[in-house]
Amino acid sequence: MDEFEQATAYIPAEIKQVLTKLPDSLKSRVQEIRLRADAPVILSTPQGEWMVSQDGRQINYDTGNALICKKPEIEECFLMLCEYSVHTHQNELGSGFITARNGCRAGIAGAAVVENGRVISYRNITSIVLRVARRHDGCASELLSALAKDSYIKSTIICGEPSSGKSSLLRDLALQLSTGRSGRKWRTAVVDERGELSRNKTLGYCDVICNSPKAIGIQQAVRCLAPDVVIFDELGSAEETNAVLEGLNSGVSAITSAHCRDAESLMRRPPLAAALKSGAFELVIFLEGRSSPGKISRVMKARDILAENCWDGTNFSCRCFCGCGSIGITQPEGYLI
Amino acid sequence: MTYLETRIRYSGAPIYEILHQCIKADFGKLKFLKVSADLLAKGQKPEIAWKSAIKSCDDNGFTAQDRELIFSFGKDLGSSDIEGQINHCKTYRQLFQDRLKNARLEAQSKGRLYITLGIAGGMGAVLLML
Repeated sequence: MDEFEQATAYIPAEIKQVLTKLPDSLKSRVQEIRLRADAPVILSTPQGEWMVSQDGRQINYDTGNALICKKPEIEECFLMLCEYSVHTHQNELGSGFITARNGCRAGIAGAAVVENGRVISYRNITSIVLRVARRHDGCASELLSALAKDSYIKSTIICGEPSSGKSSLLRDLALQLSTGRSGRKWRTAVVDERGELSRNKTLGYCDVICNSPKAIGIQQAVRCLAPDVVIFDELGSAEETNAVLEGLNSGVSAITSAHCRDAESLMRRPPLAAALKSGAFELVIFLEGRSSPGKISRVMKARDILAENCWDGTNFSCRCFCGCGSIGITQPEGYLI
Repeated sequence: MTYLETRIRYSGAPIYEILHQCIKADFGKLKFLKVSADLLAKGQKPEIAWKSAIKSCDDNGFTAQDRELIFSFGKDLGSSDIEGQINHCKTYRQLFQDRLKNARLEAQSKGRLYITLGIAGGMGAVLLML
């Protein structure tokens, strides 16, 4: 079963039948399938977004023959993604996504159910964005020589915009490091908070901690699994970064990913800048973008990024944060610096 | 029901897995559980899975009303979050208890009726013989 078919496995039969008629050349380029209640089905490709006609052709505009996703079909798709067990995906739903059994990940939009100020679930689902998870076997090969030193792996953040192949790169790194394809087998632990990295079981000989909050998972991995390297997805919030750094500054290398396009946008995100500042990460890899998933555009040393962005050893004094000139001291509450 | 509630709350497993666990635990006699669990594991819709399961197990002594109740319980199992599912189980536990109570009363009253009929029939036969 190819990646497109895997993603459409959770789409109700009527829409799925039409999508299967699409030409293979288009299927192989689709990155996302967007379903919205009572709106045309949209396919996202690196070249742009397309609608689908009712007879299975790609079209630019809806001239009355576009394939429409009805509200009940959205609900059906949602339940299918949950394997008709919504309670099983409650934690993921709180973060606005579902990872299906075959590794396919779907973003969810609808009415948020809030409890004590936290989103715990969604109801009245109105949009589902199905990611077509593509395998890019070997995409980490060129990166390995940059990461692996004689006795350790350099801690690294892989940066890229959505759909730029960050997870694919992490997955391939986990596989190559743990199986020794790089020459040496590294004890590799994967903390897979969202279940996205490990769902299709391609991580070689990694120790995988699944569905655990990152900070707890990393600390557990460091304490109990004695890894050479810990791999985890999407370093984001300040709270999370704080806890993650606590777990990491303990002699274990870390490889993670982050949503940002370039060094400038990286430094504009206080938690990520703090992660660099802490010294926990040595290298930063930037990916080309959604037009060339998994392709590396630039490898930078963390200290070079800090220097470029006016890190004077105590404070940042540049446009990176709030523009106050001494971010290190005057960060809003909750930030690390 | 208590078993289901506990599993839903603490294991977080999908419904088909919980049903398989139920079968292994102590509920293997309820054959429809296995059929529905197997169908759900194959990705079948709950409505279809439970309808087929109940239909395939006609010999278990359930009345039409019992089957209807089991079906309406099964088709919504798994369709909401943990709290929703716990409430679903609680509601149906009460409904099943009511059915059980009614069935016991019915069995009791019918039992008495059959005994009375038996005695009357026996007496009638004796009178005829005399």
